[in-house]
Amino acid sequence: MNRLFKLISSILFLTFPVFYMTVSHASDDFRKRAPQVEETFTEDDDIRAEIVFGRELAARIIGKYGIYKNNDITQYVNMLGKGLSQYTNRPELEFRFAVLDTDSINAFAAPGGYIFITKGALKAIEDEAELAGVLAHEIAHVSERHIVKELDIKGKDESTVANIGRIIGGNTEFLRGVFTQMVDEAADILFEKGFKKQDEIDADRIATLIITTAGYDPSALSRYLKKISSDEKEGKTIGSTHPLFSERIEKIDTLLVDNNLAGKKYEIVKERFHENVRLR
Amino acid sequence: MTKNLWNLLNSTISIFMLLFLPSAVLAGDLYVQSIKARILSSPSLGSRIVVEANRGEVLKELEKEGNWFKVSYKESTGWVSRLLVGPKPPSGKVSVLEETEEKLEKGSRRRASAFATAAAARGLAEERARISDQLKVDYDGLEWMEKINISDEKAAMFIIKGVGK
Repeated sequence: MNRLFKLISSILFLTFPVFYMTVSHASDDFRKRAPQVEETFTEDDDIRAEIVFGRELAARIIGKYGIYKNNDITQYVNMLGKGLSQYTNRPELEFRFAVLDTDSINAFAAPGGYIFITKGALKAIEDEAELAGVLAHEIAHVSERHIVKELDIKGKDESTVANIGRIIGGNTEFLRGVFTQMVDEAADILFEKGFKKQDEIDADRIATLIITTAGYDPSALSRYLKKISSDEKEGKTIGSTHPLFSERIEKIDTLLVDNNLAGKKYEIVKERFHENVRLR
Repeated sequence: MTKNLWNLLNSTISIFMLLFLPSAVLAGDLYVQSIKARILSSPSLGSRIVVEANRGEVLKELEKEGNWFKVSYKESTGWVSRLLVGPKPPSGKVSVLEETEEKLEKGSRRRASAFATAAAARGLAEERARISDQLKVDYDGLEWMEKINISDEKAAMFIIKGVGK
């Protein structure tokens, strides 16, 4: 009898720390997750802030390069891009696509769903899967809110310095100036500094997920990057904001091998691409 | 007597588990945000497709591993990418343009948020002078871009037709 009581007490004594640690670990884990929950921009005002900010940045991207007003090609790029954007977790965004009137090879994404590809990039692309890879990479910058996070763009949080709601709502020259400065800072990321290395690598990984899920060749983005990195060696103009080609290619190729996707045959949709994109 | 004590022991442990374990293992619902989400046999993109769930459908989260959730869906269990699901039902499109147009054309017929009102006031025609110090700004090009109107359904069909699935 006494032995049994001792046994019960011993078990409770021994198991309590395990339960305690489990609970304590769960709380720690929750604390780690809590800021992430706060960071998710699910409130309408945050999304509106993202779109309004993105519009302004888009106007600067078009201001720098000019828009290529070819209806057929733009329709085609929008059809593909909008289709791909549905394989992301941002159904609330209206993704929009346009071609920039420059022979420099590049692509850009502004928050809220404004995506651009240059005429030069379209000339370098050989099939629809490659175009899907490039557009999906830019879609991923938007869906993962890379610029939004970098500049802390929110619509309602009073505590943040970058309170776009207040800045846009505020009708003073000072606040207008702050807003303009923020958009210029984002433009600087796109045109000069580039995204963080990890953001680029994440965008490649997500792009590969998007195009694979949509049914395109998972290696298409890697193929495109290999091509333009060799173009760069030949002295062609490549936008300076997508560096690290060799590292990005290596990471994508590793991802393909790790996910058992390397060397398999998938759709590249070459004919439809050339029917719609006639630039050469 | 011994049996009673064992029962006591079991009850005590059960109470501990009821009290503490749920907070550690409780898993929530995940809503499909993408048009379709493949549920795969393992947390790997190239693995076998177990089943596909459609936008808005609920998956039960069982566990998380890196960028993947193990989920149950209908009669099946498998892995879904975290990038295709979210903790809330997918929302409709949010647009600052529609609210702006509505406000400009019909007055404040419905209560727009303070943010949208401010955006409307600042966003389009009236504030063209708000030019960056460093960069040219092209709103005409932007509006040309925004006029292109393709439905999600049409774009989704375009992809399906292209890849032959």
